[in-house]
Amino acid sequence: MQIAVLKLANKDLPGLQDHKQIYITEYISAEQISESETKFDVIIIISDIEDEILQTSTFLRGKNHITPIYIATGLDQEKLKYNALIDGYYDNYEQFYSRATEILEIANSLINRGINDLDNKILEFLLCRPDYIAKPVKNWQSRKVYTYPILDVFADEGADTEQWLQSLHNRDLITQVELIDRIRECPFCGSAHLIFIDICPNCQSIDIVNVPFIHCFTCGNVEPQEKFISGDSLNCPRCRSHLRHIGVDYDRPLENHLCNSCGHIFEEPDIIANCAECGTKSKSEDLIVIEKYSFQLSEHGKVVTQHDSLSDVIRVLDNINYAHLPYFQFVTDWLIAMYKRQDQIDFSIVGLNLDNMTQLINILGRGKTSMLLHGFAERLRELVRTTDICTRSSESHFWLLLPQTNSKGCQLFKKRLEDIKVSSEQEGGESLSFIVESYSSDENFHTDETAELIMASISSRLSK
Amino acid sequence: MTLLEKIHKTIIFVCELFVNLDDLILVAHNFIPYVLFLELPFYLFVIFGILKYYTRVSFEEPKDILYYPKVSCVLLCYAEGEDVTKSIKSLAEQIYPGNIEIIAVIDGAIQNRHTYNVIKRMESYVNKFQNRNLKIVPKWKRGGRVSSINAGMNVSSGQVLMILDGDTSFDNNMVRNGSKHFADKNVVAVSGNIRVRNYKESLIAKLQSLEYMISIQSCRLGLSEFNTVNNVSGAFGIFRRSFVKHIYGWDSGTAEDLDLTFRIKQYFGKHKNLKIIFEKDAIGHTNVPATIKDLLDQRLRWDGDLYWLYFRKHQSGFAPKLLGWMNFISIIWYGILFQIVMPFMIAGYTVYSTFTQPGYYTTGILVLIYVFYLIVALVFFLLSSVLLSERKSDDLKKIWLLPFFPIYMFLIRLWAAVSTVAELVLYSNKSSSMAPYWVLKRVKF
Repeated sequence: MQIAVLKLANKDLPGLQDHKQIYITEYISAEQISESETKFDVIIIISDIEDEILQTSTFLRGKNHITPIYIATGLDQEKLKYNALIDGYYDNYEQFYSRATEILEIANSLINRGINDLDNKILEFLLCRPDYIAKPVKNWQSRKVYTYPILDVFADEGADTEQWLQSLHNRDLITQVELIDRIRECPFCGSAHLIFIDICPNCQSIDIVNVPFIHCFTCGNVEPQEKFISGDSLNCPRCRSHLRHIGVDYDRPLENHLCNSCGHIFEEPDIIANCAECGTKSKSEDLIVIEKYSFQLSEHGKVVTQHDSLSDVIRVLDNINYAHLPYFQFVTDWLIAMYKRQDQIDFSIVGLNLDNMTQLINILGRGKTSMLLHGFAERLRELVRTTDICTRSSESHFWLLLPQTNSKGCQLFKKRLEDIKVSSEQEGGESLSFIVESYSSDENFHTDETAELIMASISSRLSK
Repeated sequence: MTLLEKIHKTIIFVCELFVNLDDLILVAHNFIPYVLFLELPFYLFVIFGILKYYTRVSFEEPKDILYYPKVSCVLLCYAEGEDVTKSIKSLAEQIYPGNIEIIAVIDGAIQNRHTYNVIKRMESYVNKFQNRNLKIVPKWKRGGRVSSINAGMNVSSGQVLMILDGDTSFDNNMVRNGSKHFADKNVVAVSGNIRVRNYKESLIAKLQSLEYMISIQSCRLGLSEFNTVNNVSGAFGIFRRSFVKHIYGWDSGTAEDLDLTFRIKQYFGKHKNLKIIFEKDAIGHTNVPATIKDLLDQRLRWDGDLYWLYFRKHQSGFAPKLLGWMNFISIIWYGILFQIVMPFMIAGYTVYSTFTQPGYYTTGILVLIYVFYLIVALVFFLLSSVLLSERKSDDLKKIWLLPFFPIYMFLIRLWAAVSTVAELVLYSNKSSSMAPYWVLKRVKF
């Protein structure tokens, strides 16, 4: 096992030198480790300065998403802020070794991919650490108040980790573990630093005061206290009785507010949130409610990461009038039967083969490919009519059933699909490529046609 | 003799008394000494005081005293439970621009956990009021009333210190009226006026409310005019904090209120300007015993304590040089003759005439005594409710109780004699419920 030790303090690592399979290289800066040509299995940071540990562990974790990182320190482990970034503390050799080998074993089983995009980094990090839970951590310096340290480390500078997290969750790669908090954000700028103020519901002034009310038992009069006060005593302005004793002569039924600006008396003040960042004033019901969960890798995420599957990326297509494949075939069979009885009722089937998905993921990474496909799906959605239904028979084969569409209509549809392809090509270097094949009832109908046969014949043309 | 004949004979006897002068002199010979020499002068003294007060207040130009010192209200809590919220609310409600610090001292807060929790809940209520705050002093181990008062005094910070019972609530002008007297540097203590809160509970409670009206509202007011207030009640006493601190606060032992009053008065001889004032408009409403048994228990304590205090503890303190002549005479008269000696005279005389005189004679005398006390009660009742009361119509409605009042007072006086004997023989103050026995047994007085 190749271990890089970042020695920033004079401290021994008990038991580490006694083992033959351990090769230790000592460094005095984190940059040296990342620049070194040796591929280290484990990194150990020795330091007694909290900021130093935070800085080096953030740097090293950003560069090494799989490598186990350990810390040897004399500081109180419970109180340290960077527990989310590291794999543990070096206390004794046995504990250290068994945990590190667990991580490395899973890491070795991973298929080596061409590109390490953000999605891959976090997914592989999580996969290697099956019990890791990414918890939101309060940080007043963050405009969202909560941050996920591990996402911040991997994300690009200035990237919206919130959106990234949402995208991972939407693709069912990570799963929510526990609801940690519920925060409210400014609907204008998204900052969670809000100042809540109670204001007059009539004129929106903040100059409001609490006015106690008094209920006279003798005559039942209820009015603000100030109307009762005369000199050193309380006298009912209506029945003139002298109110001496709370609970006997009078009580305080409610507390109302008085606006000093407009004189309005009201029971419940309005609450508005003043954004500390952009200064926008919003009503509390307009604020964006964000629930902060802790996350871990989902079962689907594990499969996707381990087998490098496309299913999470392609899944975005499943939002367009999606039907399961057997249902899709059932409806198609029904349309075939209809067409046999009444040949005016046309239908067409369009098959798509997204043939460069794997290459795209290797070149662009999982995240960007997913975004690309998302863009395609959005345009496709505009094209699809409410009566059309879609399905998928494999990771790359996508099907559309277009009822009441003859070959002419189908050709038009195919042309529009091609337009989408062309327009997406112009956006950047790499783009989505697909082959389109179709079948229309009015063109080549056979009496013994079934859905399965039609799809098989299209499939064979798609794979050419 | 049948009962009817007995009553007939008594009536005839009483009527004849007023016709036959010789007989009247004979009866008066037996009856008059203690009435004339003990009671009447005292009553006249008090009535004179009340009239003096009334004329003074009527003709005096009302002064607006702009004096609002910080007031510390030490609320002595034990097992009052929910009742304590009434007291705390009434203190928070005070119409008083100055600062009021409410210090709730809970004696034995472990066994009185409920009361402690109730008070804890009141914190937020009090904090809503401006210039009011609630300090909670839980004394986990029970140490008795005096230890609570002294603890409260030590944590307090106001110039005016009020010692209040946890089951007493107050009119909303109490602090204003109670504290204004301290603008005069010579005032060291103010006795508050106590009314009965639970008078609707029973006849016994109603009679006590009449008793409080007469003996506190009227008598103390009258005495106050001559700076001879007999007692600053333990349930409701107001003090200049620096002064009580100077005399080291309260002594352990029972009747701590009377004890402190006496100790303050011991400075009167030397510092002739010092004053204890009764303020009738500083009003507290307290719960009184509603059953005969509870009432007798209470009075056994009070009256026994009186003897203990004057004859055991302060034997050597009785000197006009210390107390000043006015208070010396007043304490001898009201405190000793009136409250300790007279019950024995009444009891002795009743027993004596029962055994030596014919039945109708004894009964006749008792009727005469009854009429005399009824008149006295009526005079004081009217003075109290018409001249002094701030709740005149409420008080006047109690007039129907007057016929029962002399009987009530007669029985209470007899019981006072029993209490004194109990103290004399059994040292009953050492077994008071006001403090745990381990405190009382160590009291050195």
